[in-house]
Amino acid sequence: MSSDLPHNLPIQNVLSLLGEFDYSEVPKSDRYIHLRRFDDRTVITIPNRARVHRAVLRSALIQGGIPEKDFTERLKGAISVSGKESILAHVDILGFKSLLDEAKESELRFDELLNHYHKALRSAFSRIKSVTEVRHKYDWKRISHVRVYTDNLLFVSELRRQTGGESEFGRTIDEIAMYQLELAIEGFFTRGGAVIERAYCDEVTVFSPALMDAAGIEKRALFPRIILEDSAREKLRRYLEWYNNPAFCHFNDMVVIDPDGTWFINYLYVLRWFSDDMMDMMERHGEKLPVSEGPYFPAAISDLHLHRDHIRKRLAEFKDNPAIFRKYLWLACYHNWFCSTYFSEDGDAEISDVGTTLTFESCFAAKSEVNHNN
Amino acid sequence: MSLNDEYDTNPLSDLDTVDLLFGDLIRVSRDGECFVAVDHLTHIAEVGSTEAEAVNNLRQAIREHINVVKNTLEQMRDFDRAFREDAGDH
Repeated sequence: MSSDLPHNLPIQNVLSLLGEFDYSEVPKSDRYIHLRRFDDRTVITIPNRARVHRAVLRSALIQGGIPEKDFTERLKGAISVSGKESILAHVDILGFKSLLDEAKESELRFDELLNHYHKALRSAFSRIKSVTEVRHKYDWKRISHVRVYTDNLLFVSELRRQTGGESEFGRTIDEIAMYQLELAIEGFFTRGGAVIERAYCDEVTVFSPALMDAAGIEKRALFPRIILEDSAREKLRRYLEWYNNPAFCHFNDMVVIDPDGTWFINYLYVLRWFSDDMMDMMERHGEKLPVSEGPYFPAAISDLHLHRDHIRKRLAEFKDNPAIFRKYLWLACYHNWFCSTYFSEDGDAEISDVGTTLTFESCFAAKSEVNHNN
Repeated sequence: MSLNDEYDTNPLSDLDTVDLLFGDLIRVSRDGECFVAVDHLTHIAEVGSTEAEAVNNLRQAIREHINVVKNTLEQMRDFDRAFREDAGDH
């Protein structure tokens, strides 16, 4: 059985950690240590040796009904920790301050907005949290955390040295995209950025120099998008070097380049991904959609239409506020570009009367710009 | 203290009893330089430099564990009895 526990631990550390779960020693023999809770008949028995072997430690946790994940989190407080090269992403919700201002209007409005926001955030957050927790459970030593504070969300995921961190980088990009999409189809648009920086994070501590510039990252994003800061962009360029054919490179569709040169996460691509997966599965099971539904999975189309409707609504709402209107105009251009690129056969998805178009290109196109001297 | 029922007419030694009850539930595996024996009923684990040593250590651990569990239960029963008697007095 694979283990997330250290190979062995000093007995004093183990006893003190078990003490945090209310287990204390009962009079012991020389050879064994027995621990129990004050009002519980459960007894943990471990050999009285200077160091506790991983298998014995795991057995102690099972005897005591202590989840391994909870124990390993406490363990981080007992052993020394160190920062690792990680991908950090800071994301916040566009217009959250004006949402709070609106909530001040009346109690009824407060509850209405709160419930809408709560439902959207909870659904988006619980999805990425469960992914992060699973990842953390199977490799507790690796840093992989996600935090929410008001409208701010922070992802931290350690990059593995052995593999260059490509899979962690890719998974984090995917998770951010899913988070962005979930919120967007509820009408909350996000902005932020991803950086590569040394970091440490557990349930109580978040520590990284990258946090000093979180506000700056948001400002640089300018529009409702999650951008890749220089460090993340350079990292991705290295990964792109490993691929000859964009068809085999997941990043080809997940990260695109704005005409202004900014690299950002193409979060709507999750819909195409989802649609393709579902259509493939239906084909495998011999199911067919009515011809009228077209070549895309209906739920993906309806989410895309929801996205379209939210942008339309915002464009109308802020038509007299050029600073905010500009942001949603950019979003409308992105939406239209996405529809014409990935859902071209759905004639109804685009937003008409935008008056302008933007053409984005895949990050793969920038592959040739890699600085080979670096 | 014996692990056997006090009314058992054919008492076995503690370790024999452990063998009888737990023998089929013990699994041994190798972990690097040492052997790990785990009892899948009580979930107790022990290590040893050989397979036999790991199993022997585990038998001892199970025996001690059961003794402590028995003592704990007796203490809880005594406490419960004293509490009821005390409550009855009042």
